Amino acid sequence: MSVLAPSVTPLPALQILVVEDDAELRAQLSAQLQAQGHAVVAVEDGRAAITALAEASYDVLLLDRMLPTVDGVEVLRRIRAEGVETPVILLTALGLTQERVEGLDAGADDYLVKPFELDELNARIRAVLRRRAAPSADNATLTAGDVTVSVLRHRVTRAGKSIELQKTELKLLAELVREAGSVLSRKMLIERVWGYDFVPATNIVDVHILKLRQRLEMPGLPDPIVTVRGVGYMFRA
Amino acid sequence: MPRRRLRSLGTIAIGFALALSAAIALAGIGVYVALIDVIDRQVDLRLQAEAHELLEGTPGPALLASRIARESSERESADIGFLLRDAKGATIAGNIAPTHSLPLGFSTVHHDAGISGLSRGRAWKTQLADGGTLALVAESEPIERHDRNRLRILAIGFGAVVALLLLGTVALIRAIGTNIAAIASAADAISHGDLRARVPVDQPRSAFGGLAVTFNRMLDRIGELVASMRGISNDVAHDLRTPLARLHGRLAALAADPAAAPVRHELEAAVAESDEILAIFAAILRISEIEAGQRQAGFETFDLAALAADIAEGLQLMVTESDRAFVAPTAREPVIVEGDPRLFTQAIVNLIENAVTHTPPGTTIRLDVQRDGTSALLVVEDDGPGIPPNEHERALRRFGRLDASRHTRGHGLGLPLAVAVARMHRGSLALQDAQPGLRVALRLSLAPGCSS
Repeated sequence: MSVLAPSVTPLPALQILVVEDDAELRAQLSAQLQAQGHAVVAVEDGRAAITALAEASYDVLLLDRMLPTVDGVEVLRRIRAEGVETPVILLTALGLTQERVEGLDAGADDYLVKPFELDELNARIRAVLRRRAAPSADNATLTAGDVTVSVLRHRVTRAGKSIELQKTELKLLAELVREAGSVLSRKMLIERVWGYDFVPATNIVDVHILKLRQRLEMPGLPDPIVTVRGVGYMFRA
Repeated sequence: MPRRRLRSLGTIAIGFALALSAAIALAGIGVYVALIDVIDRQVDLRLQAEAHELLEGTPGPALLASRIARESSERESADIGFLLRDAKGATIAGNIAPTHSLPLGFSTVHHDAGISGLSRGRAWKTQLADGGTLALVAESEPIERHDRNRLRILAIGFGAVVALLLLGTVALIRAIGTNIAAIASAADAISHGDLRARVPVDQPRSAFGGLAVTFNRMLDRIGELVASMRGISNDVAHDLRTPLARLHGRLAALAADPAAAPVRHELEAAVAESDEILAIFAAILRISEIEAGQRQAGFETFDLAALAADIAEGLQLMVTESDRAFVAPTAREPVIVEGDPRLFTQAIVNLIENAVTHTPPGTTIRLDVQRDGTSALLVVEDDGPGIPPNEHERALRRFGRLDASRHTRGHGLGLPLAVAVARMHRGSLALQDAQPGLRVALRLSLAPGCSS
């Protein structure tokens, strides 16, 4: 089993705009992102965010939902209406489902409930950027290394040999293979594979990964799934 | 003992109608009796006047007989029957022959007296000085079969009044019922989370209008209270989660720091603890969100059986890997309900996770969905130790964890969340003894038009 320390696969240096009204969280987040080599501009309210977006362009916008002056969702609506296509990850303290739906409807690319690990954020940023770069490869046959997954035909092969998988195992493998080379957090897998908008109390992700590893195991071939400690899993590209 | 109050509008109205009918019937009988009495007295007066005329100057039998003959031929008194008898009872004069003897003074005679053409009448009889008797009889019924006609007239009148009364009662029930239904429907909507529901007010000055205004004012107040409660729970969540998030961030950063190697284990335990606290927050917020009815917007029509089968698929491995057996639902037919499938997903996952957490290895956990009459019935059942019936209620309450489970994992909000989801969908959740084990039964109505 391969275990990586967190943040071993850094993102390329990005221009990130952080909009957060809590001074300490804003400083914490900025410092952490800067430590990873990103250029961070941090502002404290909605109006400042709109101004900042008008003055410069960013790779990612991290937008707190509850903001003084102009609310986060309202900021999002306004910049989308003005044609600003910057990827947006909404940050929220509450995680109410209705808010989530509203946020995504308003044009957010992802939605993250506070508190979150930096690695979780990194994984989300990476996924959002990847999705923007290569949108919707949903129904195609997915390949990573020696593994091929055809979701539609429910077929999986490794090194040319067919492998039998249960429905959930196949969905999980498809997500990992689609994002091969990127870390997927447990939360992301819960959302995408199981479709839950809450965090279950049991370790369903780990149990399925374990099973998947057993199923993919072949003599002489390495484990294609990498465990990223404290974050989630990554499929070898 | 407190007096029983009449609750049903129908009972009140029918009782009222019956009482009024009885009153009208009594009045009718009274009128009938009084009418007869009046007529009798009228006839009595006439008989007395006639007798007075006949006996004027105390005539002897012969004169009296001639006077009788004259009177019976006169138009005015032709309808009066006369009978003059001597002391021995032999008829001297008269135009009637009653079959039985009449008593002295006034009396009522019927057709059984054998007087032709008389069905009811009054008689007056007096003893003459010579020991003979003079009897006068007059009809108290000016028309043939007057009694029966009178009854018919009364019956028609009474019937008309009763019919009008019934119609009025029905209209009254309708009117009151409509007004009450409007109030009830508003209250019902409120109790299911739609805090904007109000009673329509047509005429604020009328009794029902006034009630509606008062009721709406109360709803406004409830709405304010709920909004402020929601505000408080949002504030608490925000104000506590933000510092918790900071704490969590610091601990996680510390745990990742190479310098923290000697205490890493402790730091990771602290991170896990803060995760637990945040999970409790997430659950509390989710429950308040459901209870506040903010999610009615997410309602759609979906197949609960298919959803349960899907969830079973996703959890099967987790349950079996925990050394418990899992019996997934066997979808036989769709069970279509109306609601928020995401909330049902969370409720079902919570119930199954609960069953895993609170039973020993070797337990069998069963999930099933089926139609039961006009309801959908979702059951999560295990053959573990169960919960004693007297603790069922507590197990459904928020933080009502049972002592035995206080040291197991989980925050104990799984059941309360499922209860909140059931209530929000106008359903119910019950704990039952599965003998052995616990059965959680979630029941809600099938979507309209989907029950067969």
